[in-house]
Amino acid sequence: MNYKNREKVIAHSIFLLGSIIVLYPFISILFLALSEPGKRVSGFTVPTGIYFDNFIKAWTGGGFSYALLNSFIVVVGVVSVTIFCSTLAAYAFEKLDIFGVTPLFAILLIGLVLPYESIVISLYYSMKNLGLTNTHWSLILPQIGLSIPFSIFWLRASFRSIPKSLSEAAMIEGASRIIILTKILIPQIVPAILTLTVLLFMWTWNEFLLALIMIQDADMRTAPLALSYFAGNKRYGDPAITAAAAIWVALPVLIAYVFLQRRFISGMVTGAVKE
Amino acid sequence: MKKIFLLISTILLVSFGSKGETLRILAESGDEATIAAAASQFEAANPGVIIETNFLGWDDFMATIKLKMADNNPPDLAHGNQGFTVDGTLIQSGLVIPLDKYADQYGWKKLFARGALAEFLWSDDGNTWGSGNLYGISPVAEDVIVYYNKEKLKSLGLSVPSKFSEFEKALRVSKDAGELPIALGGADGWPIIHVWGLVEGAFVDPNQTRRWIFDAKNVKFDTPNRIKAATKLADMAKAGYFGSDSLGIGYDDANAMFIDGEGVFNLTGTWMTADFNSGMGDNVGAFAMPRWNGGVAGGGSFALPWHISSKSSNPDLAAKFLAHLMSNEFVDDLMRVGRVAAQAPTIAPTSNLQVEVIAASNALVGANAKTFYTDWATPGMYDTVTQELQKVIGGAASAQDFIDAMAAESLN
Amino acid sequence: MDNIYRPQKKIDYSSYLYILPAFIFYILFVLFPLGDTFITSFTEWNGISEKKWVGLEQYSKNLSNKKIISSIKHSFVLIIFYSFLPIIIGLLIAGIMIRVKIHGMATYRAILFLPQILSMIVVGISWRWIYAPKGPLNSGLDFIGLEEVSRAWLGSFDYALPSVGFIGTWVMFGFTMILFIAGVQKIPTELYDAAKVDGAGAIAEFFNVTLPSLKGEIIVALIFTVTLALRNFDLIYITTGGGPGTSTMIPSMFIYKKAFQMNQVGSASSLGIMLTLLIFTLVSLILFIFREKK
Repeated sequence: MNYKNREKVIAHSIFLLGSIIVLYPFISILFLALSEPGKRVSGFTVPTGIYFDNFIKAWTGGGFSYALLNSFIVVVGVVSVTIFCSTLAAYAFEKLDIFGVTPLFAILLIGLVLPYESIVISLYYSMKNLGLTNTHWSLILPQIGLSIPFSIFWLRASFRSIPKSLSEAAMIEGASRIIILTKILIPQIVPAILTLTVLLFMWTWNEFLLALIMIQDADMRTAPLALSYFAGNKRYGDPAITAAAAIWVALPVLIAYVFLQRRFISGMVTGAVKE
Repeated sequence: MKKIFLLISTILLVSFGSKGETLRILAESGDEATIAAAASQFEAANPGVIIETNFLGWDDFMATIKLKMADNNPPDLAHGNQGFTVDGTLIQSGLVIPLDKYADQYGWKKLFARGALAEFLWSDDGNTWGSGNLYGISPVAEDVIVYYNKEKLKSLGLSVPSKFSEFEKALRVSKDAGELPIALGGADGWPIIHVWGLVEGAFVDPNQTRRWIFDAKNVKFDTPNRIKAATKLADMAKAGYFGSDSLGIGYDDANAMFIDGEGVFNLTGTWMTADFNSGMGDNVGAFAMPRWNGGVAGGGSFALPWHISSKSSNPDLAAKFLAHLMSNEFVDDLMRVGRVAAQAPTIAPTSNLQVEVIAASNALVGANAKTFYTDWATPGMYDTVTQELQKVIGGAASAQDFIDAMAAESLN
Repeated sequence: MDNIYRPQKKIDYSSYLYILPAFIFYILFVLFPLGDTFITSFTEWNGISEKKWVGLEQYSKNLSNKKIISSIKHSFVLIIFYSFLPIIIGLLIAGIMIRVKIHGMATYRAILFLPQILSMIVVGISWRWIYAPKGPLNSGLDFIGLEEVSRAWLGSFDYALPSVGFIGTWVMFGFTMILFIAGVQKIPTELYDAAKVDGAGAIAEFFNVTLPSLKGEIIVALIFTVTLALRNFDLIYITTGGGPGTSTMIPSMFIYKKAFQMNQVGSASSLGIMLTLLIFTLVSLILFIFREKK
């Protein structure tokens, strides 16, 4: 076991450097947002005082209360239905005897790698014909479909990691499949489900292109969409107010991240490799 | 019994019908102040009517207006944009209605000279432009002119140019003195269209340019004079008259710079009059771009046309609001906020800058020199001309490349 | 009732009920639009009137369109920034971390992962400010005396694409770092001990032990970053919109513009299918290169 001090110092320096590089844009934007309103800030200026005016102007001017609410509604819709459907499906794939698992998986694999930019056009016209554009459904339904492949693979891997003895014991006792699923298996993988929730929340919250196409009504915009329009509106050409708006939009995910960062990281890192 | 029932229900229907009518309006954000004011006036004069307004910044407007009008629940009244890119497409897709019956009802056509409304006339299939029915109308005129910083001009020993060559000399003198000759927000792309319009106007006969805009497929773009104009623009860029950062600066930032005292000239539209006036007061002046042999040239036209959606459940109400916008009181309101009305206002200009702007505008009208905007010519022209102009300004394409690309796009 | 001893041939159809809800959503909102896009790619359509069948014309037009070919080239440039650079950085760091354990790893990890959780719109707005002509980057360069280097980064024909690329590197390098470090820490030390016994130096260790053990992670990183580089609509939309000129245009931006601004839905669909095929091909290539060699 060879822990050379020199190597430790090197490692620390590297991580410190990396952290500074990562944090710099955040701090830059934060300083910009906290700067004195009306003053055209440039470059390196450290704010002389802390002004929250930009945040207030951004909030009232950009309709962000609606935007955050809309994003929240979409997220709840997508996450809840996706996890429900994917849990059932993953259970079936892993524990039940399904004929044709491999071709079904191959079909799901398409969804994993598919660039959804290719299919948004068709989704738009479908939604338009159904009269669903400008509604939360136009964002919720497609994102459920898009989240299904990853969620099924994720949950299946989690089911797989449950010791076989547990479910077999239950089966011998003659429990029905639903009982096995809900009373025995799901409690075992609650951490994994939580992590999946966090990931889906993040991806759905940050979704932009779909909203850009489906939502034309200012009141129905999701947070990133509202931010993009806000940044482009002539009256708010002031970068400080735009910076404040950006922080408003990033805040929910940031707050969730601060509390759940282990889940975020482990989710994207370990789970992805499992496949 | 039945008659009384019918009477009561009719009364109820009528009162409910006219109570709480909503009019939804979508406008480009340049008009936010005036429309907001007009909306309150209209609501006050028409109790029971509620007006919902929505404004979009220019880039978002251009990127999404067609989607919004094609939506299942589009605004009743919305801005379009002259030309094939927006208006032509809206008409071809049957998304907007012709306004002739309202124009007759409210007398709009009497407000303007014959032929002045050509940019709003379309065939019903949206394929022919310049004649046909009236699709869209606007109370505002917009011209592209040259704003200048008066102090700087004076300290450089220059005066308002009367020939393009004098303008060029002014640019060279400014650059040599270490000033930024022209403040340009090239990052957004479309502001360069205005610069091009002025340089083009200095060399190309405005009639030819207008004919090309209306009928790009059949009218020649690559005429010798236009090649001269393109070469001139490329030379101006190479000489550094736009500064080295113009492609990294947005339109709003460039104007802010100009207001803060950076840049001798700003080649843009009269919609900026109010902002420049409030930021620079008497230090800012305006003139119409002089042509190579004297006389004036300029882009410009009516402002964005108002359309009534074909899916509107309230076209008459929308037309009524439009009539309010075309009225004399509103014209005076426009004057007060520094816009240039298309009809003659009854009040005097409210600032020195406005005096000069109106003078420039009148000069353009008098010389019949308004050449609209290059991006109107084909459905894809807006993208093409912004991209190609950025290349010219950035030195990534030559004048000939520009001409070739534009000529190719004209055939679409 | 369930029976553990299921006869081989009997198929339990009720199990399919479990996968039905998921597959209904998937088929309706992913597979069906994909098929629809495929069919539309063989037509000429402005989104409103009738579709006109034109066979492979959209494909040939797109493939001979210089701007579209350029956009694909731009995506490949972005792959270098979004994928290769972060992976190399991540591997190097992971290599150092083989033998070192430091305190505060959890904090570093939390910080380095931050760019991953943000919307690309937020990231784009932040970097638009940093790259602004009077923004922090230029101010910093001026401060340390490098004024000639400062410029309008996102407005330069030569530097806009690399500037956007660098944003991608910034977003990804923390992810690859963490991914590879986690992978490295799973490598049993016996492998390194064995290598040392064989007299291997640090570099040989890296190539013979670390890299092969990280194969799974490398595949994941590659697929994840390459697909992002090829898609990438949000960031380009909010930073440059494809400009200046067409120097930062990418296929997904073309798809959007063609479909929704230029009324060329058939052409856009064809481009969408082409993009899908490109990504499928690259992913298959990655998996093939890194396949298990028996």
